[in-house]
Amino acid sequence: MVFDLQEKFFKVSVQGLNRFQAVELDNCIGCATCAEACPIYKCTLNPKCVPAWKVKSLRRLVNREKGFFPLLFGSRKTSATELSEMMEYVFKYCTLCGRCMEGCAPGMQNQELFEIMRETLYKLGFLPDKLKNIRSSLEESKDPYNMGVKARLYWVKRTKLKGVRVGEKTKYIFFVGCSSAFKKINRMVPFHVSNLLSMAGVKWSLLGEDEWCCGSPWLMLGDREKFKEFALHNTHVIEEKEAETVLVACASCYRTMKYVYPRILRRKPSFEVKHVIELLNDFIQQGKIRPIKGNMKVTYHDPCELSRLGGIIKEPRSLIKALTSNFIEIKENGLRTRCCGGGGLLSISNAELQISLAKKRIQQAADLGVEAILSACPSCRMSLTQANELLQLNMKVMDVVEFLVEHLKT
Amino acid sequence: MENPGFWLNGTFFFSLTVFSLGWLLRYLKWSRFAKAENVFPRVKNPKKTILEALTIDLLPMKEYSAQLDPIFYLIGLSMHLAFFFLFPLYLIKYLEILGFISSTDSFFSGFMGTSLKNLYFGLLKDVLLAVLTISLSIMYARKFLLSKVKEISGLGDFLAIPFLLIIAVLGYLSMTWEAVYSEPYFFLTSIFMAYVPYSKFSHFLTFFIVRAYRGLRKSIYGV
Repeated sequence: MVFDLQEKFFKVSVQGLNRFQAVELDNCIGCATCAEACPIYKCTLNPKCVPAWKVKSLRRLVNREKGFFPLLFGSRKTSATELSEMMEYVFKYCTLCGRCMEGCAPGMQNQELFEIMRETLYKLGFLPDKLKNIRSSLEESKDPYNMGVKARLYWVKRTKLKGVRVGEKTKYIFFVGCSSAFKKINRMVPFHVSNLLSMAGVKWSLLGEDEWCCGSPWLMLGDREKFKEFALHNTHVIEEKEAETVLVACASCYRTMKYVYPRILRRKPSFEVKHVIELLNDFIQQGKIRPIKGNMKVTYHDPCELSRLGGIIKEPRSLIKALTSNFIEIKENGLRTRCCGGGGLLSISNAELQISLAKKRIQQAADLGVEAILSACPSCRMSLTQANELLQLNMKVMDVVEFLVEHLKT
Repeated sequence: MENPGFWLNGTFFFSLTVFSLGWLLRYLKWSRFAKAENVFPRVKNPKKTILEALTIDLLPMKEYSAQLDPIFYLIGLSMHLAFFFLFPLYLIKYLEILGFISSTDSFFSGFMGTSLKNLYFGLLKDVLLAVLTISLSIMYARKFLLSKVKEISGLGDFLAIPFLLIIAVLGYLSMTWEAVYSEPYFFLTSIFMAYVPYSKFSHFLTFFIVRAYRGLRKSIYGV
């Protein structure tokens, strides 16, 4: 064994972990069934990509700080090499999709544990270089694309949307989200949502320049304080408008605002968070929107943060079935949906792997012989579109909202 | 041994103390973290949710790990069931050696009647031990043969399973050749008992807490 005398050692403090999660860490028996569920392990077959490896690493850090021996002899330090290795696998080989939780027989909830692990490493300065740009973009522009709040309504101008209310006190606030507002590929989704809301007679408004990123990239980077700042800002702005419901068209915004805001802010905001799919499905059931049913052969890709981590599984199916009589379930759907690679900032930290995951997912759809794969998340849409183009599949990648608009009476 | 009673009792109480200390240390470790969110107010029917999480949700048609790796699920289930049914027999034998119970045989005869006892002590015990031994051996082989399991296994994991295997065999032998195998079985079991809270065997308790909590958390999402 060769010892590096220049090796740096760090005193690691795992914060953000609660008692229950500490019990969870001790509960992992190392059976590796999570490996079978993890799309990244299945793609790479690297044993360090097994979710339980990350759990084991986190447990080691916890035990060095608060285990049996530190109780008596004080905490132990961790080498920079070890922390770098952890950084590599927890940032570059994990999409935080949480599929490992479904495949875990002992019932671990790894997704939150991995967020805590990212937080621990981030605090020590262990962040992949490629993700450092995201951090500065978020800090300076309040969005991960470095566009700035002034460009928040650029999509309105480009799509020539009429009758937009900005910053008004209305029952519904449409929280557009960064990937819909700034990415050309998704630009038509907020346009269609706005028109559909108006069509259904709903009074709605945008936040405009007051809208900041929901904060989920901060959680993925591991900066809980910054996340809290963004969550507080958005909550304050929305509550100021006295809105009853916030509508989102992004799976990540949905989960973050609905489930993470109350947890981190330690209070329930005064507004309800709904995904547009939920509302549009209600409108169809109520007859406020009357689409024409077609027979296009389609499948639906459940975004991880909307289905497994958000509980929206029935609504998109109900909506799609109202639009086509030829809906086919893709393999690995619903709670057990397979990640397309679009989550966890993987598209930036490890783009090659993200493409491999997206290719595998879209190939599952292509094997069904469908004409289109639908989703309800801008990140999934970007990821799947990229794979679709690379594989040159004769298939459309669409958002459910776009599919609905295609089936409306002219 | 000049005074076997002293050594037996001493070993038992020593291992019981180490066992209790292990749980205390674990509890102290856990209590050093912040309190977890109280999810009960957000769950519609907590009792039903917990009950389902610990019963129906573990069945192969619901448990996803069973569908992902059915062979491993079957092996794991067989091992746990065999252990569950053998455990009372081994425990009573342990207490008999310790002198807390006069005879394992008469204890079970009084408890379940002679015919059922004979079945338990005879064929059933042999079958259960065979199932336990085979399934544990497969589990152990996985640690060497599958890189994904090997990578996540620590030194303790490589020692724990053979330890359990030796105890299972010794316990069986002690019921047949009492004079030869009783004391080795007793001492190894005592060490094993002391080792449980410091090892992954502690999942026999934490499993129920974690599964129940997962059920509650999932029901918040409405899934």
